[in-house]
Amino acid sequence: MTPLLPKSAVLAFAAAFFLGSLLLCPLWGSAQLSFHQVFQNWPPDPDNQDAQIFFAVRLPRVFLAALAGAAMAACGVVFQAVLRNPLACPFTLGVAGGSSFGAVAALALGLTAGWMGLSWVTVFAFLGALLSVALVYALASVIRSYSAVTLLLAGVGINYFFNALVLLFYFLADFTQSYAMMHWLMGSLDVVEWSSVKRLAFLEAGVLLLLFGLGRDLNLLAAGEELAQAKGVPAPRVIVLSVLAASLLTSAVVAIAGPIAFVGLIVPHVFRIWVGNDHRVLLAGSALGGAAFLMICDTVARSCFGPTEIPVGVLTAILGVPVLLFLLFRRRTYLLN
Amino acid sequence: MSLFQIHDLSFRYPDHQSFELQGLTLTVERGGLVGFLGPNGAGKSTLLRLLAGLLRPRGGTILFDGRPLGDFSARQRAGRIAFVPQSVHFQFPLTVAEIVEMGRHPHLGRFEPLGAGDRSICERALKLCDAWEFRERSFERLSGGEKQRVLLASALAQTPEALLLDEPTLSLDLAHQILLFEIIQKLHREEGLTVVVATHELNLAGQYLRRLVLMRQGHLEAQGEPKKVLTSRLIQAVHGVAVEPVRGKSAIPYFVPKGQAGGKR
Repeated sequence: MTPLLPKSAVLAFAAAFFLGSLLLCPLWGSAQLSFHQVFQNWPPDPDNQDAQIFFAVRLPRVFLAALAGAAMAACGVVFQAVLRNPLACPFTLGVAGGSSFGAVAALALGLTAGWMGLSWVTVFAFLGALLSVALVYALASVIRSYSAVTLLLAGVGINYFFNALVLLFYFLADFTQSYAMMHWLMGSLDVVEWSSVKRLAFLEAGVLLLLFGLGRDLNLLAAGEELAQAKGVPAPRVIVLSVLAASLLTSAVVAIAGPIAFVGLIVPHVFRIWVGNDHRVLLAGSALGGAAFLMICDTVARSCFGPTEIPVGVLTAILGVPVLLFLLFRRRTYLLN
Repeated sequence: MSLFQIHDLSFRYPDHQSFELQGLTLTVERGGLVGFLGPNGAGKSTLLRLLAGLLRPRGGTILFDGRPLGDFSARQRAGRIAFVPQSVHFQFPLTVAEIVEMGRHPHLGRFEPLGAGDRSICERALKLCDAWEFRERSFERLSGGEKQRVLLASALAQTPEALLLDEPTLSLDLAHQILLFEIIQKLHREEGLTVVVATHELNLAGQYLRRLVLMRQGHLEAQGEPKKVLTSRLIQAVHGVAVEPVRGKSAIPYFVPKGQAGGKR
């Protein structure tokens, strides 16, 4: 497969796209801001309303979109490689189901306050996600096989199980609760504070560095465990390490932003088409592209449907799927050759 | 000096109780050119994987260069022993060059990019294996013989001391089988590699390899020079097929099957 552009050109384009989105996305929003007013003085006055909206509401939200998009796309690359499956995504091991279950349980129990600056919904969602990954591993270790197919099947099974519990809660809930549940389940980046953005940024920097360091191992694992071992990759250890790291990051993102659909599936494939399958290039490109994509989707979601805003998870699919299908259609031999 | 020393080796797959290797004792000399022969299920591929460190023995010892193989880290091992699998399916397509560069994995640090030295090693490996012309192509689009040579080049890029090949000629036509054995012979002669090949090809093994190990049902049946191991009696005992030796110009006769041993023709 000959790439359309050199890899470095695609990466440079992705980086420019990322920086452009980071600079431009905060300029739009449902509230019309006067930027003369926003940057009038530093630090901004507490009664400068435009500055408050810009620095306390809009910027953290754009940053969160960037972090979440980068995390989802990078984790998607990792899950596809380790599970050797083009359909794998950050939710394959049941993270979406588990976190949804946690969040919905917290909402159903009416837990509103929080713990250490995080709402109970976030804490429960995170615990639920970790629970589902732990269950997948427990199942896999009982049958003593960490092979891709075992993990995949266990993950899909556990996801269905938790989704059923979510539906049960949803069915039993009253209208206010069920609205809150549905809102969370569709994925949304609103109501974030700088503190959770900062925490996520630290965790994400660590995990992405680790995954990038495993890039060559991922290339080999995608070619099968035996070849990986023959080339010096301690396969079971690297599989467990990379899946756990990616699951941890996914869980943290989902706990704050909800299970945002499709970014983790679509962005990696778009970059596989553009730069080929060297996972170091792929991780860098997907992280940049995923961040830009989610920043743009979120900007559209919060500014173009005023006075209301739509959940970003709805837009990622509506905008992302046609792009993927178009690229697949143009290069129809993509997964075959 | 012996590179591999195998003593009283036993092995069994956890989910395949009927097959086992038992009481294998043999050595592979440094600079040896060895073939593991035997029918399906004799254990030659399993023995090869044990030598490559891809499987762990149940009992007995494998010493590599005087040190237990289990003491090597995956990286150290891969820097000295290269294993060439029968076939590989790349779920996500890669180019030939990318696959050969994978061979440098054991020699590179986590964040270390491929250096000029690594590139020249890869280039040499591709040229030695007659794969230089198609280095830019996608692996999945190659023919069986080309794929096999790329996997061999990727193993060579590891700059190993020992090269272990699992049925390298299994799905190749005659011309490609011979080409592959000639490359193997060249690597042994010119690069000084210790080469072990698990193969079904009695006649090619007899022609190209220096020492043969004949296996049956997890046991060693015979080992030694080709002319000692390749006899009508031993082949018939191991394969259950009557064969007739045909003498040509080479020292080792060709064996032509005559039909099932004891059966009527």
